[in-house]
Amino acid sequence: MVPEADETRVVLGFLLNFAKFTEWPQQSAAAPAEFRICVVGDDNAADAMRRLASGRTLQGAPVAVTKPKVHEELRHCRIVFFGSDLRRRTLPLTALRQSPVLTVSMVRAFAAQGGMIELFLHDTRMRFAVNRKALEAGGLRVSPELLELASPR
Amino acid sequence: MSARIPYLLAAVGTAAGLCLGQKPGDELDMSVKELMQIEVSSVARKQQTLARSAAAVYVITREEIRRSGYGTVPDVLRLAPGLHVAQVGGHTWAIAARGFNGTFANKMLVLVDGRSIYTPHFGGVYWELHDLMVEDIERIEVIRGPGATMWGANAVNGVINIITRSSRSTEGGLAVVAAGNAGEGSSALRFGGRLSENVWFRVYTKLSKHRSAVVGDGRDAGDAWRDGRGGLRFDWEPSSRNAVTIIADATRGQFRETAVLPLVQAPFSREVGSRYGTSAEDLLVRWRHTHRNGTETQVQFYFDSYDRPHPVFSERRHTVDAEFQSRSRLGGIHEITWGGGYRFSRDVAGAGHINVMPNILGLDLFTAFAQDEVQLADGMVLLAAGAKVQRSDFAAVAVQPSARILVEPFRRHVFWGAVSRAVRLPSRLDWDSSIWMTTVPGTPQTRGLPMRIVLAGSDRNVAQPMIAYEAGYRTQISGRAAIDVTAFRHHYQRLRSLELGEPALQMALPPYLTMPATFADGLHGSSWGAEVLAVVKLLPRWNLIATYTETRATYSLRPGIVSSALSGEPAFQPQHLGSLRSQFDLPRGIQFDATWYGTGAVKSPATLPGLIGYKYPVAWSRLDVRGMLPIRRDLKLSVRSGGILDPHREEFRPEIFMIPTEVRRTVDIALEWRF
Repeated sequence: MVPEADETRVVLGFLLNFAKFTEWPQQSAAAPAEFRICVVGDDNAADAMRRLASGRTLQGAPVAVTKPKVHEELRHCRIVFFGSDLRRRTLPLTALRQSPVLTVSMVRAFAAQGGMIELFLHDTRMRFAVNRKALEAGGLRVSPELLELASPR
Repeated sequence: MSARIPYLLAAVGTAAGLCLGQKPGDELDMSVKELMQIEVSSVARKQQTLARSAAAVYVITREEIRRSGYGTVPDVLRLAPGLHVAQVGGHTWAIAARGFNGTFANKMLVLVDGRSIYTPHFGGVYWELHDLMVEDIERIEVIRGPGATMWGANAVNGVINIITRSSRSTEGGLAVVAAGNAGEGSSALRFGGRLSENVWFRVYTKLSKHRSAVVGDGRDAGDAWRDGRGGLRFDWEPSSRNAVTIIADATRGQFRETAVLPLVQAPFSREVGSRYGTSAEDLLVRWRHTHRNGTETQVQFYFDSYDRPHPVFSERRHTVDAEFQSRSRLGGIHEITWGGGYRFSRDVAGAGHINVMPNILGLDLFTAFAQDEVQLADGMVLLAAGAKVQRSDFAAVAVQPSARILVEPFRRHVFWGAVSRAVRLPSRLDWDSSIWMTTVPGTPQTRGLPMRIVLAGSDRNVAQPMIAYEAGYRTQISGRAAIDVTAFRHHYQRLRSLELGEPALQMALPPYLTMPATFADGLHGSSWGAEVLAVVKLLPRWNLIATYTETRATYSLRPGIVSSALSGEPAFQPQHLGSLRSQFDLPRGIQFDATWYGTGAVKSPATLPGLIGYKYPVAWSRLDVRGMLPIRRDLKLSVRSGGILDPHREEFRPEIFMIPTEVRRTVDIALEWRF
């Protein structure tokens, strides 16, 4: 039976996969204490993801899901997921443009605005579109295997 | 063009974790490919999508249908606010929104999977031919008011769109057996599976035996029925951008009916018991394609055929319909939808009491539509404008424009407004019918001669335009409550009136008079009212849904019309209509649900002639309850009762040709087995 799943779970599933297929540029020598996923603009999703992801590790570090309130903190995240509570114009994408932060969102036309990965529903199934220029600007490399599965947008 | 309703109701099951058969979060361990296969459901997303509809929409979800315990479509429709659903006898229903209800209600468009099921004979629906397996209904979209541009013909007072589940979602077997206290019962069996990587199928059969209604003193009304149906469905996705759906059904029914037909001499009417068999078949093929640039196009074709030799209005009909629609996004701001279709419908009027001449007729219907929806101010404002154009054999070109606006000034507060023009195209009843309504016993004015009243259709009945003004407000309160309010005002022109003619003497033994009355278009009418819906999650395991609708209407003669102010329209509405539903989850997956539905006294501004002595239906209400007990992971037992408070109740009085009946209380047990 084709299972039905809650959207937040599926989004988190994608984020975990994106993390596996993305290379961040080498940062400071010290090993990162945690793999930080930040969620902005959807407190319910943030809380749910925090519960679901607890105990998992990515790239050798425990996953931490945070809800930063201040845009400056976003630069310290590995992945930022922008929730649908935000209006398009208030997305702080320009500030993050050259930072090694993987920006993901389901907001409509996110990729066109400079977001790196846009998740969207096609009928009832999740698809994703990739903005390669944005990835390059941030210094992130995504494996070709993942790019093959992306949809045009 | 579909919208979803606040899914607080679905949240009860999932949040409380009481839904059986759900797997724990495998999603987090899946690969991207696997994740892309899953069907995603989201409470929040559905709330948001629905809240942004500039129309009075309610979606009856699969979960609601399950929890109601109802097994037939008319019962399920009572779950939507604003729908007046009244059972008039064992197998007839009067269902309408915003007034103009009656056994010949003609202002609603009803669709099953995109296939139109109203009859061009009089514009209503033979609900008894659509005894669907409700377990396989995905959702029912109920729109009150003129359907937005894109819906087809007859969408004047509302649209009911019944959508069945994709066979992708119904793999496995399901058997449901129900048996009731008066010998009624049903059994349904469905099996679905996956034929290959991208082909799914489902096959089903359902047999039902329905009880009759009762006459006031408890006697059987002679209108029991039974039916059987079966069908199959294929869903094929040759690629990620193409989806093909094929649906086919066939149904056979055996009906008993007690008709009341007029006589020329005392006692001037008689009850005629009859039996007849019905049959219906349908086939629908649909192809949806998504282009590289995101444009979605859909092509649909269906064939529909039925034979219903009812003693009063007998009809055999074949319909062929082909439609096309396309939706594209421009610049991230515009969403343009356009399309068109052609329908050919040929009927053979049978030997019922109501005659239509010619008794074989083929009708063409051409439809074209276009709509643009624009998002402004970063999504805060939505504007939509569009028009639908139709041409049928009965009317000149009917243009039906609509303009809508939606504003979401703060999150979770939505205001919307709409102005629409809709047109009811004439039916065979309006043009071609000849109906001997009743016989009035001799009076001094008629010199003691009885007088027949015979209605006739006329080709002067043109399309009935109407304009609807609607406005609404929706809000959600911290995810625990939602409120949806709509106010409307409808203006109708050219409503069906009657022109009374001169009585003519018929030389027969014994002699009698015949007074002709012709259907004309001499009335104006207005209706107005408000619909309120409130959903509250009182406790994590307890949901309440309350609805209230107020409807009023008036008629007047069009200026300069020589006509009587008698209405030829089905024009009944209850001024007050309300419901209260409770869904309660007990431990161990036990569910207890109750639905109370009630209406105030029914009014009609004017009535058909021959309704001499017609008593308007009084206020009534019914309480339906359902308890569900999971016996095993795959086995569920339900105990249900419809109308538990009264042994029988009158929901509506038939206007003509039927004996007044009352609907029985039902008590039954159902067992559901998934394998």
